[in-house]
Amino acid sequence: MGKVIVVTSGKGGVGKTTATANLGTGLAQAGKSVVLLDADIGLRNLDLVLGLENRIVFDLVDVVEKKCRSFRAALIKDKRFDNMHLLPAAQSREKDAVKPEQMKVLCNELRQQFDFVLIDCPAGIEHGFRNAIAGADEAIIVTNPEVSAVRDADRVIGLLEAEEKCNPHLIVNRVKPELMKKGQMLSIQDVQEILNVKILGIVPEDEKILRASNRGEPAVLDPSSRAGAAYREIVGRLTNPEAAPVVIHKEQPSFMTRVWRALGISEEMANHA
Amino acid sequence: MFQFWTDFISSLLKKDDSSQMAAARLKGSVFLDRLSLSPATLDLIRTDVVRSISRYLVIDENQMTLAVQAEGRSLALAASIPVLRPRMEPIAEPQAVARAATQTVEIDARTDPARAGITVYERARARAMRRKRQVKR
Repeated sequence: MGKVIVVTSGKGGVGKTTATANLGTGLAQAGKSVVLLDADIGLRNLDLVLGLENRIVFDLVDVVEKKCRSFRAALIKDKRFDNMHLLPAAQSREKDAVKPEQMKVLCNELRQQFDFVLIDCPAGIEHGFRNAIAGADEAIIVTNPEVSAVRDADRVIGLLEAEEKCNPHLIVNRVKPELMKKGQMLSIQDVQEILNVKILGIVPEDEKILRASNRGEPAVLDPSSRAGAAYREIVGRLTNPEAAPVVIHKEQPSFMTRVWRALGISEEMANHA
Repeated sequence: MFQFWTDFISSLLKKDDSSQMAAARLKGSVFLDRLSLSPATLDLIRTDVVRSISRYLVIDENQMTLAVQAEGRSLALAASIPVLRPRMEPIAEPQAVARAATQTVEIDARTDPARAGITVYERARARAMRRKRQVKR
């Protein structure tokens, strides 16, 4: 019996689709049988990021409406890995073309055949989100170290908890370590403290991600990509629960901060003085 | 030369560490969201707290903070209310109501969510430090 994992975020543009493509490809590379399910009906992109856009015949809505014999007819085999498949979303339909109950049934069928079922969730918390989480056992929340992404992630975690999709895990994406060091970007500890969920991985901002999606080849396959390396680590944690956990580097307070603290002056006061 | 040093020192002081501001502001809004509580409602609670306590004690409303804090995923409403002096004759309820009503506007004008947020942040840090110290022992 495979695991059904939904990749979600609330906010758009934080890297859900990229994360889904990279985790799926990484899992396939690690020898697991994987199916990627694009639940973003009307705004499908996972096919493009994986470079499989020209091979689509049937889609998720066709499967649910039984326009093809079984879900097998709609599965697209990956170019690189025989053990990875994509079930694309419909492009010319609306999110309500599928119901949460139908997604549950489909996920249960898929989990019989694959080790991992990864669902790429649409942005938002409406119908599309409800569909995407309906059949999932676990959730991976993708966020960025940025106020709006973290706030939306908190909302989504709350909704998942209400649905008793317990144990959400967090991927902090598009991290810029230099800015964090300078205190100009929310630190990983800040994000962890606010959201209070387990961190599955920290993915640095990497220009190679753009090149990877331009080419339709996930960065996880590029040995020189920093983000790709981070995704390989996450894959290690997904396949082996005893893998090394995320190390969060404590940031050293700057020299002046320590001076102010020693003098008992709050930094705010010092900065306004 | 003097100019150089004052510039140098002020450049150190004006270090941009907006992430602390971001964290404090986020905590302010995320914790309220989890309770489906609006900032206006929190202000109402604050007004009520001021009214109740003012019946017995003279408090420093400027320094008072009332904010939602988190302990893990559970939340707590935390207040810090500096007391200036005891009130010799406790005020009866109707008078207190009138007093609070005249002060509502003042409180609203002073309410600075960013400042309140930072207080939460600092207090959370202080708590974390205390815990760390206990662990060391």
